Amino acid sequence: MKLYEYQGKEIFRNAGIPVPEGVLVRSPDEVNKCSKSMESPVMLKAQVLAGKRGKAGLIQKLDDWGKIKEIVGEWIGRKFGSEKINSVLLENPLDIEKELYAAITIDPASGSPIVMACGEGGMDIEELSSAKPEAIVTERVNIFKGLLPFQIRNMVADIGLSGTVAKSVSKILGTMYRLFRSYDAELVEINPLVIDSDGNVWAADAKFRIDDNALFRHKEFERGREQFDDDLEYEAFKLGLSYVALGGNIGVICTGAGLTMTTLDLIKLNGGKPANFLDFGGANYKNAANALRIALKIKGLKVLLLVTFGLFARADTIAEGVVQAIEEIKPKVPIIMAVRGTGEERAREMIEAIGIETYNDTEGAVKRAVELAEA
Amino acid sequence: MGIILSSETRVVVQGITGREGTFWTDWMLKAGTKIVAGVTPGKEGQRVHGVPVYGSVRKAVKETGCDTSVMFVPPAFTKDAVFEALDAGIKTMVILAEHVPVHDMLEMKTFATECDAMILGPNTAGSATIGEAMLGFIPFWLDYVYRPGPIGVVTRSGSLTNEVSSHIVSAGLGQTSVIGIGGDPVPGTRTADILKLFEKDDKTEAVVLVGEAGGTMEEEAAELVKQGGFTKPLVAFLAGRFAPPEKKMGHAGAIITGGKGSVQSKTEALESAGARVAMKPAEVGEILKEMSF
Repeated sequence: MKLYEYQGKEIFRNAGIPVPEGVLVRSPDEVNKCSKSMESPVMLKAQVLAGKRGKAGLIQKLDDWGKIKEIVGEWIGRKFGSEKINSVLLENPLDIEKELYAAITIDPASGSPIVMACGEGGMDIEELSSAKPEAIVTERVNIFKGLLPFQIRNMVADIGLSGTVAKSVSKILGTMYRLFRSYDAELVEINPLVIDSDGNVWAADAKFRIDDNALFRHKEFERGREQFDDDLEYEAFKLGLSYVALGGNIGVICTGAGLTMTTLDLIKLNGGKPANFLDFGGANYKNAANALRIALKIKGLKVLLLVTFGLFARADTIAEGVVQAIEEIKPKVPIIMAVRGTGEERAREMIEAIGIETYNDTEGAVKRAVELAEA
Repeated sequence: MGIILSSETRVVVQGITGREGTFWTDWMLKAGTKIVAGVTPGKEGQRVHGVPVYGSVRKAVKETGCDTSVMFVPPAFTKDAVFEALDAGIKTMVILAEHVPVHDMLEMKTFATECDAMILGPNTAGSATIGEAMLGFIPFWLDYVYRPGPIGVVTRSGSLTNEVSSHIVSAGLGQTSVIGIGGDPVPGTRTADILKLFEKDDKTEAVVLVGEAGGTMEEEAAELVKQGGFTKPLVAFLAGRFAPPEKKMGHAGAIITGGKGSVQSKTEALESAGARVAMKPAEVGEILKEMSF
């Protein structure tokens, strides 16, 4: 789960990482209050979860309160990609002398946290690592030992810092690691980490991503609609299903992520257009019915393709669920199903009895679905 | 025997008295797995399909000499179960649970390395030595999918393994071992680690790698081949060729992020190392038939 910049900064502020003074506004009217407590010029930063908002003009420095109110009014409710902008952070601008980069994330290959720092900030890390890979300094952390003082010292020296600035940055890196661990974070990133003309160090931005699988330990965060690209994706999430919209006309429901991806690939290779990714995993009646309901809400659906290769559940158990769900929901689009696994003969009989075409190979079912979608 | 698991491996089932644990213990026994103990704290003295249940892994190890564990434990309790197993001296463990917190996994992986032990998973359907033993829920009884033969399989995905394996069997071949490393971003054991084990296994003549979009494990496998660490014929099938970037495709590890992890780049890496990459699952069988080994 990604946090908004203002949420990340609140965590930073409470942990002692300096962040610029700021106020979050959710409507142009709220700007009036700020004009009394804040001095202009002001940095306006649209609160969105996706990156590259600066390039889209969603970070601006403005002087005039009338203009500030106008821009806030323009931004709120507007879309950035698939996201709706709901709030804008107004901040006192920093007097920037130098920009740095600092991040902590997970290195899957070594199975350890990895700290990254760079003497140049501002660019995003992908650009940075392709433009100047040698400028990025990294340290892997033994999870039981934690980020050790000598590791921090070496990194800070390697990115060219000394004196009080080195001290401030060291303290910030230590705090970032503590937050990374205590929040079950996948990413804690400050880009840029700003040194101002007085030598003070500030977190000018905050990127914080918490592991979805650890949210049971962090009840203060809840994944709302804004965390998803699409209404159906959110609806599926609430039902414990994994859904991604893909824009085509062949609805797909499968068991298992790998088999689902493969089915999508086969649709494309056979000239069809998949509408979605939808993995209904455990495949009991409830999951089958929920998955069917979600898939049937997709606009412009021409055909529905179900592919199962039983692992956890028997094919006939899956079939029972699917048959019950179809009889209850009575979908109007044609349905094609590939059924394999224990009890598959009985499963095929049950499914054919309600008028659904079945196949015993994935590609055969895919080809038929593509044919029906074209018709 | 295959790699990792044989009919002589002494296995403990952690979480044996739960619904899934009990159900799959029956199937694992039918596969030939030598399950000598079960563990559920507070349920000591019971029997599940004839298997004695102990209250702790330490007790199970002491009484039965088990050294391999398969875990039917919910994700929130997985770390404690793995730590308990490692502390008791278990050397191989299979974590089936999906949704294990990644920070827990970092701790488990580090502890396992310190103990010189191997974790398979999380988020895997398990592993099997075909015709001998199975840990997890691989449907070994489907004889058009799994049959003893010369092909090793290493995979990130459960039901896709059934799909690909069925094409190995329809090519007239079968499997030595099927090793599920799981669909998470930080698996306990990586694809290349398993290739090294298959390299040493005399019965395995070629390997089928079932991969998917996201991460760098297929690239690492290609690197191992280039460096001469794996010399047997290698055929890969990679799912998610058309997966959109920055979206988790079901598996937590299946995400193309920052322009990295696409099936195209994995295909290039593997092909440049001399491996064959199938565009469709059915092609895996066709390629194996063409190969001479």
